[in-house]
Amino acid sequence: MRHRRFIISLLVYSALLGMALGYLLPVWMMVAGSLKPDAQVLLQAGSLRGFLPSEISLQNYHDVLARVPFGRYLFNSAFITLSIVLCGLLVNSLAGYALARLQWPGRDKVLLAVIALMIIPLEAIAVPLFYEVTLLGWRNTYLVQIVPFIANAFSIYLFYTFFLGLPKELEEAARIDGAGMWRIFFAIVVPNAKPVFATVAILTFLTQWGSFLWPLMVTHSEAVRPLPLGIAAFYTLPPLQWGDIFAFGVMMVLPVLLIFLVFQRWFVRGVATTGVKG
Amino acid sequence: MAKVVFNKVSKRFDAETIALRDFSLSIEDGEFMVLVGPSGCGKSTALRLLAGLEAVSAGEILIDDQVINQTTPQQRNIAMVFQNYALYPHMTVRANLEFPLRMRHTPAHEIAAKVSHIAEILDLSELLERKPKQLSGGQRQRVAMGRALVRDPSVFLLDEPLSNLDARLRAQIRADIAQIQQRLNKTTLYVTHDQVEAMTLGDRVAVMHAGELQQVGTPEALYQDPQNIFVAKFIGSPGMNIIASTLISQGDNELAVRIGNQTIPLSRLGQQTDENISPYLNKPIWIGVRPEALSPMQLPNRVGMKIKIRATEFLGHESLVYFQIAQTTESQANNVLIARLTESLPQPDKADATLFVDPAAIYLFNQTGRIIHRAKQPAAS
Repeated sequence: MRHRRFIISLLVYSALLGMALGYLLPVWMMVAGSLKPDAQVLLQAGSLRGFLPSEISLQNYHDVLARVPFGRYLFNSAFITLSIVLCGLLVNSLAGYALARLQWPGRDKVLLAVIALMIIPLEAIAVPLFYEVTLLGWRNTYLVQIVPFIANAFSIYLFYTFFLGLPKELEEAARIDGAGMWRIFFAIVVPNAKPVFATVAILTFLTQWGSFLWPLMVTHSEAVRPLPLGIAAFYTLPPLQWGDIFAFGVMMVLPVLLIFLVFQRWFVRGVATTGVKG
Repeated sequence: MAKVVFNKVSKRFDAETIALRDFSLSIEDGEFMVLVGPSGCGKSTALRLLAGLEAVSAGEILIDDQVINQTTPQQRNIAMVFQNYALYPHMTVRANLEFPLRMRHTPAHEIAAKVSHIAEILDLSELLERKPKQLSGGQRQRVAMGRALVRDPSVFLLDEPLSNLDARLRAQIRADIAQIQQRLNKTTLYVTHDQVEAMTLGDRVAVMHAGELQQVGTPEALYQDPQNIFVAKFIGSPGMNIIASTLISQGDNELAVRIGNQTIPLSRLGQQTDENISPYLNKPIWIGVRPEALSPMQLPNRVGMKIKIRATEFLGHESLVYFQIAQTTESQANNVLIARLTESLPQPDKADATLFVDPAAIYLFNQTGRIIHRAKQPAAS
């Protein structure tokens, strides 16, 4: 009996380990590849040695910094993403609050529209949006990469469900204490909604950091292009060097990883809370 | 200091839901008024209308003769304690107490003075730097009171402030509230579903049912002189026993009530009363007897009523006896009545017994539940 249980455990854990490796290996290969001399990357890619850095060198990282304006891409990505996150937190939380708490004609219909909008992907509206920003003369600017992504149906919905779960008496007490609508929102509601703000911030950051299609459509100069377009530049920039691409990839993922580790506590709590309330 | 008047106020949430109907009530300056009634009776709605948290559908609310229907909660200078206290969880006790003063742009030195004064009155000085979640239920209660009182409101509202506390703490804080109100002499409107709280706290008590005001009066007046069956059953612990019966005339034109096969003579009601109730002769009416008006002791002025005991609860200085009237119809048999006895029954083990009542302690109500005769000697035992 005990023997059988041991074998079952062994099988289950082996399967789990196999799956975990399946997800981890590409990332591992990227890190390993970024530390190898470029010539070895493709040569070893077909064998298990592809996963082991034979001689560790930082040459690829030097190359990346020399071949493309990595600092510029990094700044652009950070600026665009942080702008979207900060403006998005403000706009979407206010919208979620208006839907959850304020009385106004047409509120239910707007809420329905927000829910419906959540299922429309960017790819479906990219072309009409492209025409719109062209008409506005916004192409090849920061603005065109920020403004269309500030208002976000999913973020509004997350805020909406969280605010529904906050005890109404807090806001009523503040009203009686003499606070106006804006004061109630910023002094009472926001400090008690930290988990949902953290959740929305992280989800928005992750989505926007990897944004590729839209910047590719609306920008053409390095001055405003974000990191994902920088990595794409290597495919068109001869010679094609996989080591450099891997190094760029590592440098692009690191900031996200750091942010996730720092805010992980909030993130997990936020998802749990919105899950329960929603 | 303020006088509050509700003048035919109604609140309708939608076509079907009328929370408050033609509600008129006047609360004098400095008075402690308690609104009491079962849940859903409209008492909290009345409070929220006065606070400005809901809009009035019809009628008007006045504070010091000024109609306030259109003013915002901020403009009314009303303070409120919520059932769940609604303390701001992210602020310390001090910040909670300071908040209403800050909203009114009170100078900093005045804020500090007022907060320390109210903290002293409510014994909160040691807790000022704590967050609400680090406080016990009773302490949170006191912070909520402090936040309401710190800005010297003209009207003080409390919405079931004791219902989240355990019984012992409730009695203690009830006494504290009474003491604070007496000391500060603020016009107070207190909402509760607990008639014991209502009776012990209120200068006057307003009993509500199904969105309508049933009766307003001092606790004594409500107990001794209920205007209808609802008030009679709601006030008192336990409430009045209500028994279906028929008013009859027997012998020397003396009035009596018939319950099943038993007849209880209503002697010595007085001529005026006889005239008042004679139209109900030979018609079904309701009689009301307070549990404490019943006794197992036979005295010359008392008449007997045969009963069947269902259960007895011994409470120390008294017992609650649950019983049904003997020899009666089936519908009557389902009506479990209560006697509150200080003397013990002669044969406690037997189900059949006789309880005695002074006819002067009997109330009579007509079929619609309005009073037609009031007891002269309520709770004679």
